[in-house]
Amino acid sequence: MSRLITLTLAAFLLVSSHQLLAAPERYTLDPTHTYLHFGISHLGFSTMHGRFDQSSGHFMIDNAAKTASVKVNIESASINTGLEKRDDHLRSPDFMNSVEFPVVTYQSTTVRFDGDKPYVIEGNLTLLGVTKPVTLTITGFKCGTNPMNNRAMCGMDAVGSMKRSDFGMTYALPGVGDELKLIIEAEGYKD
Amino acid sequence: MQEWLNVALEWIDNPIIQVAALSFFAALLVAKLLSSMWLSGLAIIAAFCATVYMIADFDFDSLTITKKIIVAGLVASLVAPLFDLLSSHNRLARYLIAIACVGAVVWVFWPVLERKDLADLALYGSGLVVFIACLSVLLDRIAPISIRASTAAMGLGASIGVSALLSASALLGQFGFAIAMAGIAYLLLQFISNRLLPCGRTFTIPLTVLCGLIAPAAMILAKLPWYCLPLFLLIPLAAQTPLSGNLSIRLQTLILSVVTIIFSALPVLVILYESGDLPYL
Repeated sequence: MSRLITLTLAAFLLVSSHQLLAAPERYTLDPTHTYLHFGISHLGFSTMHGRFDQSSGHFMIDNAAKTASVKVNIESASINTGLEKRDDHLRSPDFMNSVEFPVVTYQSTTVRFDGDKPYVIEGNLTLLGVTKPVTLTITGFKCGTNPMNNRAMCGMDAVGSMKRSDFGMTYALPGVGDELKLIIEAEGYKD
Repeated sequence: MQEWLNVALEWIDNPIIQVAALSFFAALLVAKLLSSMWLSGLAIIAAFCATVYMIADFDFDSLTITKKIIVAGLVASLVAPLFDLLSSHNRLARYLIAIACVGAVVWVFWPVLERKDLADLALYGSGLVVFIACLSVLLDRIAPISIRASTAAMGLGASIGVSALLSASALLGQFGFAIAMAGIAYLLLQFISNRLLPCGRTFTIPLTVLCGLIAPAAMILAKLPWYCLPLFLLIPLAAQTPLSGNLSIRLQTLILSVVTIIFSALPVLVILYESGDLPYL
């Protein structure tokens, strides 16, 4: 009888631990290693690059169920192209309109997996009060323990593109390009 | 000679100059064609719409502050002729216009103002209300005198346009230039014909609404210093400089233009002095 109880208890613990392992894990983005970079044509001569310095957000991942979700808020006034005067112009109503729309948000709708790793994020980008779908392709994804602080973390690189005119940002078209190349680096610590 | 020609060609190639030229011709055409119907004041909105068509659009899906300014300008142009038709230049109408302008400024800027703390809300809110109310009263006083109204339009448009450009918004700057172009077109027609064009509130109400919203937008959304707003109010005051009635229309146009341009330069000089440099655009 006691053997039966022990076996039942062991089985219960096994199932519980598996469920625990398979539970969705939530990660909070590390703002010091999470940046949205962009590239845009300057009068067709070259591609100008810049990034947004401040962002926040989190992502959830369930490896067993192969599901994930991401939500990111980007401070539009944190745009940085390395030249303060150009950044002032980019913050103005001509482009980011940062006072009126201080935050750009990206919320995933579907994350597709290739094996045990996510590889495509489909989601909605809200910029200048307009929400449109933007798809990101994950080019690198890794979860593990950060050797510097022994904390569980995941990181990824992703790329995508969008047309600024879709969001009503039409100033200086077509001289300043319509299509923006997006390059994302993101890391998050497990909550 | 060749150098001068190259400079001229460079200017013609500049998109800002092209848009300003289009606004000028739109205003010139409307002011001339509608003068017999006493609607030449619609030159202001014609110039503004030409600029909006070239550098922005008339898509109002997302009603941003900039889009609200366009809507307010269009509505003001529709309502303004009614004031000329229904009321003489009495004080009641003047106060009604000022109240409507205050309503417009609250409607346009409330989404940004409501996010500020109470002290900033009171400071910005009262500042904007006082600015547009004063502008409304000052411009309404010169509504029946087309030379004064058009020199005020030229001065305000140029001053707000250049100041907005220096404050990092080319879009708002070009909106200002459109108003300046309408004022110049109006003045040119009067100068050539040596006759006054019909003006009235059809001209000054859209002028008030557009200038009263573009300048605060440059302050709130871009980097226009707050002290430029009271300096802008000196421009319609300068357009009221007393002149002898014996002077010809041409001479009055010249004198008032020079006086107004001097006052228009003040906010620009202050911004240049403060920043010590030109903006990146």
